[in-house]
Amino acid sequence: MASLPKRIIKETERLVSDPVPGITAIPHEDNLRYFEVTIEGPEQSPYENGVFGLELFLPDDYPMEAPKVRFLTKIYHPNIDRLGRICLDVLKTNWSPALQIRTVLLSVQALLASPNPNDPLANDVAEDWLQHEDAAIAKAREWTKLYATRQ
Amino acid sequence: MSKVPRSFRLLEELEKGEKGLGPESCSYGLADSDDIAMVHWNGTILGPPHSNHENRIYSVALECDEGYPDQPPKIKFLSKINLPCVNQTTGEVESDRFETLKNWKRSYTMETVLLDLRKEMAFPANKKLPQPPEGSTF
Amino acid sequence: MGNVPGKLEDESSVRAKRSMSTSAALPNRAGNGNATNRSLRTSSMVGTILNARRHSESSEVAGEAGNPYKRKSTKEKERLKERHVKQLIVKFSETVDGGFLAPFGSSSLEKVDYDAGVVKTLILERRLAPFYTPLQDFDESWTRQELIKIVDGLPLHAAFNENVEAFEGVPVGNLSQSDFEHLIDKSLSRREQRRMRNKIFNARLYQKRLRWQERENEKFLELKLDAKKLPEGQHKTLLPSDDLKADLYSHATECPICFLHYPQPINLSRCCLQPICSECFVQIKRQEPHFPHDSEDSGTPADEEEKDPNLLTSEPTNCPYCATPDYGVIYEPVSTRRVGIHGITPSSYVHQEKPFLQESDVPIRRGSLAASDRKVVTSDSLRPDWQIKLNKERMRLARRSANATAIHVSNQLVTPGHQMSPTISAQTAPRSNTHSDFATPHAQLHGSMWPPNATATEIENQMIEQAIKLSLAESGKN
Repeated sequence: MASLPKRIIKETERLVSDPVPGITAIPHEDNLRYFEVTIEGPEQSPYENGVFGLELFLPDDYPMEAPKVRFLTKIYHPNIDRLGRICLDVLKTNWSPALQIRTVLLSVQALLASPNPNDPLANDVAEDWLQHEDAAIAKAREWTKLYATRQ
Repeated sequence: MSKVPRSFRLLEELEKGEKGLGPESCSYGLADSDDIAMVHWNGTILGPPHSNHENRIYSVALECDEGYPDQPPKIKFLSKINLPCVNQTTGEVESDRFETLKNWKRSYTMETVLLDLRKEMAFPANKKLPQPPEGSTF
Repeated sequence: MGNVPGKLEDESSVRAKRSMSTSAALPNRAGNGNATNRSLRTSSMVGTILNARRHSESSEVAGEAGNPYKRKSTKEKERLKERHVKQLIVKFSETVDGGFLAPFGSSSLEKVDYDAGVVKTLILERRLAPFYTPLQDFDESWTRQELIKIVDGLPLHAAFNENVEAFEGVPVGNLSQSDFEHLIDKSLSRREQRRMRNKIFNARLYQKRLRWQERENEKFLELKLDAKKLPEGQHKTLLPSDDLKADLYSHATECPICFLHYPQPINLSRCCLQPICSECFVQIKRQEPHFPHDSEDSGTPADEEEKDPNLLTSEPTNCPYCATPDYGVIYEPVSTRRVGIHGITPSSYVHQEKPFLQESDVPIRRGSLAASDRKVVTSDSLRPDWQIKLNKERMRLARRSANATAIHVSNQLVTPGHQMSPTISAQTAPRSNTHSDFATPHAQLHGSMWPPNATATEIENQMIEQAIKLSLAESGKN
């Protein structure tokens, strides 16, 4: 097992010593590149009061390659598909090695605050969002209550 | 080398399967696109040429449970096939009779399994085995 | 920027010209619009690429390899790869200003697939910071003695991972023998044998690299032990003097990408003057050739064969800090610290009275430099073959597209007025990459129904091939 790069060690330490409000990220003991993440739904969004579970993995090429992030909690959102995959530019084409775990998770949180149905990953949800926005938001709220309530 | 966790590994495989980046002689995908745990998969194997399997398309079901990819997936033929490593009543591939499952390595994927099963069909001792009618199922 | 290949000719004009000349060579069949379009696209691609090639041949890109588009033999590829890996070995004898010509910690070859020749030259010219050995931690309060002790303990190269998952169970045989043909399972299909050869080659190369670096490490250690026996100042070696160690590392700075500490001065981005160590800089590269994001508006991946290979793009890298396109760095070496190659013997370096890192010493520069400025080293210049790679990928897609066209046309020829049987098309057509993959099951499955099938397919195939050849010949003359 190759030793963990300094960058990952330092990022992990900083996540603990200086946590991001509303976000937790804890590495698995048996795989320090694999994090258990929670993100609180942003206020005044349909996801308010929800706590969403995610998983994050730092691939070998990190930080030259973006972290891999996925929702584990079911969520009704036009940019998140049924398997929890996220359509977010900084996770793909706009990734920069100067970004960090914390900035990525903040971007995910920001995506919850401002869904973008014009660049959808979950087509059916996006369509719903564009055509019946109120109903879609109500459904997102309902799912938050159903699946993302703090235990 | 870092170990890619089960779910991200399965997502990689899913993407490869979805985009058709793999070889043309097999395919695979999630059985239920809603299954966030990604346990159940479907696969197909195109029978190898110059054998009794030529032009046949075999359907299989794969199961990647919590242990995957440290542990091999379970795999079962849905289409009827006569092959020594396949249980003739259930269609299950018996791991002690199939090298790839027996000596499983973490770097193996579902694609490895499907391609190796195809090789098994083309194996000299197996390629002329009499086969059940095309389209019959276990 | 002598290494940046010339830009492609205006593609649209090239395309127009080619389409004109090639369309005549193709049988224009009524009710066959799709296939014809595809053929046009394919042949226009050929023209574009040929033009690009003639262009790059006149520039320096072609280099010693001659025509960069010529298919290299497996042996040739292996030879080049091995040569590249040899250039990645950190050698204490190749020292520049207290650093080296090869990176310290990168073990995966994919990360360091830059042009080693270009990078070495840039470092020797002091246009890019050398690869310094990083400090894992740094504390301003360390005394000179503490610092020297730490620097003395630094290895030439980071430890390699001995067990790479990808090489698990791959036989490597005797590394001192160049031939490993006997390790390949000859009962496998040709394609499988090629795959296996590639795997074995990579596993062997990895092991060789470990050995080569290990040999250098040992020499380095011996030199250090020998030097210890003599009082300082009496040995004239490539090892740095204590003054050099202290001057280099007492003002170490953290690279914001890898969080490791490096001597100053460090490379700065041309646009926003943010620091980056050379090891991180060489790993920043263009994305693999891809279709523009906009054309993939739906979540479902479109069929590669349906897309125009000309649309395939690859954008220059952006600055990781401010996202300015065409990332490049500048490096201002310390003029009084020129040691190693093209400088004084590292062991004879004596501390200069004026500490180098006084504010006044740091070049004061406001505003950014253009990517074309001669002081700037762009990310693209480290991988001058990016254009060739892009064109090769376009050619690959064009070939696929041509194959698909051939299949399509042959089906129409075989069953005029009929569509291919839906089951067969569903089974084979969308997934087949090459014509032979498709033709075999197809011809045999329905061979009895269409006796002239095979020959008809062949004839049609030849026609397409001929069209492409004509296009090649035609653009060769231009």
